[in-house]
Amino acid sequence: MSARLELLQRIDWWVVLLAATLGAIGVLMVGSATHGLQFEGLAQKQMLYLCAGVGLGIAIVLVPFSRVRRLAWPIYFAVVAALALLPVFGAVLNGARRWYVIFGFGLQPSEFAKCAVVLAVAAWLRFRDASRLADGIVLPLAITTLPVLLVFLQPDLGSSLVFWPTTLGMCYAAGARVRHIAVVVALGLALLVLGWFTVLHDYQKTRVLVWLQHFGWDRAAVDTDPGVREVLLGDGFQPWQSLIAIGSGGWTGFGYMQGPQNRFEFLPYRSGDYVFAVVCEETGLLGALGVIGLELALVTALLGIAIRTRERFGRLCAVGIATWIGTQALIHVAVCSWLLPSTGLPMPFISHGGSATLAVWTGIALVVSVGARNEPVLARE
Amino acid sequence: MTEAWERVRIVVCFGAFGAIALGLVARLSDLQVVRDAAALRHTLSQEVASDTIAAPRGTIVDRAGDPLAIDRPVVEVRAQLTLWGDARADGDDRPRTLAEFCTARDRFASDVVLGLSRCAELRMDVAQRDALRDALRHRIDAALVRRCERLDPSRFGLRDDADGDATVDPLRPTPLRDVERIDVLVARDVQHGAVLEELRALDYRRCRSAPRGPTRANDGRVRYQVTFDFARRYERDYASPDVLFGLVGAVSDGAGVAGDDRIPVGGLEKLRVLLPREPGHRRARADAGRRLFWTADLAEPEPPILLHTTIDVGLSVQADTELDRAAEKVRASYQGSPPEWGALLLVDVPTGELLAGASWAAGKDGQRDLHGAFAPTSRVFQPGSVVKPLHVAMGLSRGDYGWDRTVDPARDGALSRSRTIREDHPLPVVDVHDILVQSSNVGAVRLGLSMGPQGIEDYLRHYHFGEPTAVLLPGERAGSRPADITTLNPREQTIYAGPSVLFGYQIDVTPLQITRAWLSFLHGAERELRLIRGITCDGAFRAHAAPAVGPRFLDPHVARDVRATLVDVLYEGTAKHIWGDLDGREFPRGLVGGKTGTSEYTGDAFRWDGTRVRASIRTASFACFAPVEEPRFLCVCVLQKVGATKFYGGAYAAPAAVRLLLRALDGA
Repeated sequence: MSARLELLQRIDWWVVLLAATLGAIGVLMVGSATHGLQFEGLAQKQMLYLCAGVGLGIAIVLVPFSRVRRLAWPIYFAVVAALALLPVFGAVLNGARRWYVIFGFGLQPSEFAKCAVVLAVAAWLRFRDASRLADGIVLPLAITTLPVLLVFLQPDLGSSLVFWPTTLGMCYAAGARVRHIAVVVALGLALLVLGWFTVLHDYQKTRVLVWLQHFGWDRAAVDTDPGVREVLLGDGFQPWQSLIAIGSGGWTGFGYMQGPQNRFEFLPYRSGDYVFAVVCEETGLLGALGVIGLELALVTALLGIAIRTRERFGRLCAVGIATWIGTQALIHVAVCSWLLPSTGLPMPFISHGGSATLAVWTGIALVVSVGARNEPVLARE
Repeated sequence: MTEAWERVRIVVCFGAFGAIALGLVARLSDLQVVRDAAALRHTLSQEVASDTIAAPRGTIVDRAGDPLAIDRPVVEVRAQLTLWGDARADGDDRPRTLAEFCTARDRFASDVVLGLSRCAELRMDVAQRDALRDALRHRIDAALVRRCERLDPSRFGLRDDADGDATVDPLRPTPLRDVERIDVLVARDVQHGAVLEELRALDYRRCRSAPRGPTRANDGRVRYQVTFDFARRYERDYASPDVLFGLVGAVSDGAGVAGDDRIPVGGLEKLRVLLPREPGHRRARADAGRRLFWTADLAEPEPPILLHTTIDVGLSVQADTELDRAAEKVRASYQGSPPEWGALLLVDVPTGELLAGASWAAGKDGQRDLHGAFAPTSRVFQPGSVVKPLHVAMGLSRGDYGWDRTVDPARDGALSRSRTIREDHPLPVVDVHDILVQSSNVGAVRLGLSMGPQGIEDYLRHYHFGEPTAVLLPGERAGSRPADITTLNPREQTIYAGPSVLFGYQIDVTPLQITRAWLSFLHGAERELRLIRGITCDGAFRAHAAPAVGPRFLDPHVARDVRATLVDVLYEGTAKHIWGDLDGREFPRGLVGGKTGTSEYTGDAFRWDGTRVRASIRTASFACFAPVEEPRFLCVCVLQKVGATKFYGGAYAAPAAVRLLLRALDGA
């Protein structure tokens, strides 16, 4: 009993508070984005997911971290297996097989894959010299590539993009040489060009092309050019509506549930992939800064735990999870403001989604557990 | 690498996040602070929508200002039913059976019925619910049949029955491929607010549960999405629609959801002035699915124009009744064979306003065809003796002969060796009075010929034979008359055309035109009939320009004497037998005057039962007026019968006309 009390005392409550605040904001924003719709119950569902996530987190914190460390590889392979079996047992929704339907609830393995990859890469790097190309870059990327490919085949380009920065961040934090990372990034860009011609679907290419086009449009073209108008009402509809929603929010926004882009359903996927646009529209720049600030503060707190942790596996886990959450949040904001091509990526804690909420709370719980336990440092570390 | 150095790297990671976040904040600031006005403009511009509110057709009112035809606003509910076909995820696009379509159709019908059955106001019992469900199914099937006409409906087991119902064969392959949108009328003339709310709720639930655009269902079944349109439409209400069909007309049911695409059928309804005016607009906010959320801004459509007519509904009903009685009398006299057509018109003499106009047409079953062609404008006939007073009054006024002029029908009938005018019944030597009262053909011809060709031509011209009237009823036939009498050769002038027009032959007139001729006779000057008094537009009355009054061509004293002579027609002349048909009504001698007319010619004609025969076509007519001293009302009745003998104006047309005239006098 005393050990658990001691554990409670050592928990970084700032992380919990920040995550809970973001979770609460998420429930509110999902409520606004789905108000008056068939999906009206989604806010309650999100609240349920939040509670489940917190419960799962408490359970994970109570599990000795050494046991988690031992389970890193089994978890990784279990998730890979789950991803691999999706084409067989997964349900099709909107043309993609991303979910297992269990008792009416959709379970998305790719969200848990992010956590699993973090654990696996951290386990790999724990005793290795990251300055060596093979140990520090190549093999961690290989560990990442397997689930990424499976996620990409679903297809889920957005989720697959989050893995690479997370792994590279962990490698960098583990001591990988910068030039190795630069070479890998360069190779990645080259592969991207190759992928354009081989693996990208037409609709994905269209999104990228429209995104590139829009930098060349001036204000007059948006109003008067019929070609531009056609694009904005066609392939560019989602990001354009998101831009309108963000811009019309001004300093303070229209108020909760008052955003016209949200209320009149111009903004597509606003409870998930474009929830930040709803935040901007209804709470303005001040609200948007608040949410970004909270996300950044959470990442800072997670990295702070990483800095304070001497045990390498735990430290790298904290870095990986902070990078994952931070990267996903920043990509989400960039997509909403059309600095990146439109892709479906939820904002951690804010967007609706059961699997995403459970996965992100799992990550938070792992980091909190790392911070709360003073794990011994082994000689090889 | 040392642990401390790794911590530095973690800080660098944090710095990278911070830098990217700062860049994003800069972008957001640009969007939300610098460019917020443009975004706000785009927000408002794409939300603002405007829905057109159709304007009503013009209102037709009677002489008392009561509506004869008026648009009543109703709410029409139409469903835009979107069906997703070809829902197989494995790309198998083999034709599926229509059973899946039927499933979606039945779900829709059940949902609508379920929604409406929750309305306490409707109090729908089980039978009504079942009937509505079946009706919706049929309408959807019919819409599918219409939609698939180009696809050879029989190939898909689609069948459109003669009575408008459609059926689909569930076992046939479906013509649905991707997304089909079917427009279905759900309800018309919805008045319960609760019904609208229930349908809106259904719209709300269904619309928003379905994704935008074509998608494939997980279960491979056809799914549906429905959007309801609540359109303001108009139902046209008519006062005494069967009685006034000929004068007022009607509009056929259109299939449109907005605007007025009803087709006017006959009567005043065809006038362009009744077309809907500028529609109204209702400002709305629209969502991305173009569904509208109404705002308070409402621009009502322009109010309808009021078309003021001269019609008296009460007298029109009476005219209809009297004409029906006349037709029944014909039927009774001819072993159930009705007249081919009939017309009865009543005119206010001082103003020339048409008070009532009834039409009778026999349907193929021998019964009255209530919506047949309007006889007063569409039927032409040779008027016969009813025109005799018209030219006799002219001849007397011109001084071509006097009241003491006598004619011997037995001696004066022969115009040449090839043509002899004969009387219908033997007459002794007659003077002008007798010529009118006993309706002497020989006398009328001999008197008329005294006017010379120019006089005969003046008679045709002043009474405007062969010209349509000015009542503006669409489709009025012009009738016909011989060419200018003065230009004809002498034989035509004195033996054929000239004499014929003097006792009502070789001229074809409509009942309306003979009424106009009698109106001119009673005035002693050229007059026109009026049916439209004017319009009220935006609260201001604009009188319809009164028809120009032509030159006086009858001496008032002569005209008065001729009118007085025509009184005797009812007592000792060709209409002396009407008294038994006046329902016991009596009136002082000198109140009513009139003239019978009976024309007959043999030719090809269509009988009421549709058979074409070559037979005698007899037209019985009667024109009467009252009071004789200063006429207030003019009434003309015409009946035509094919293949009849002894079909006289005095026996069949006169009673109906006099009864209506008396009724009008009672009201005055």
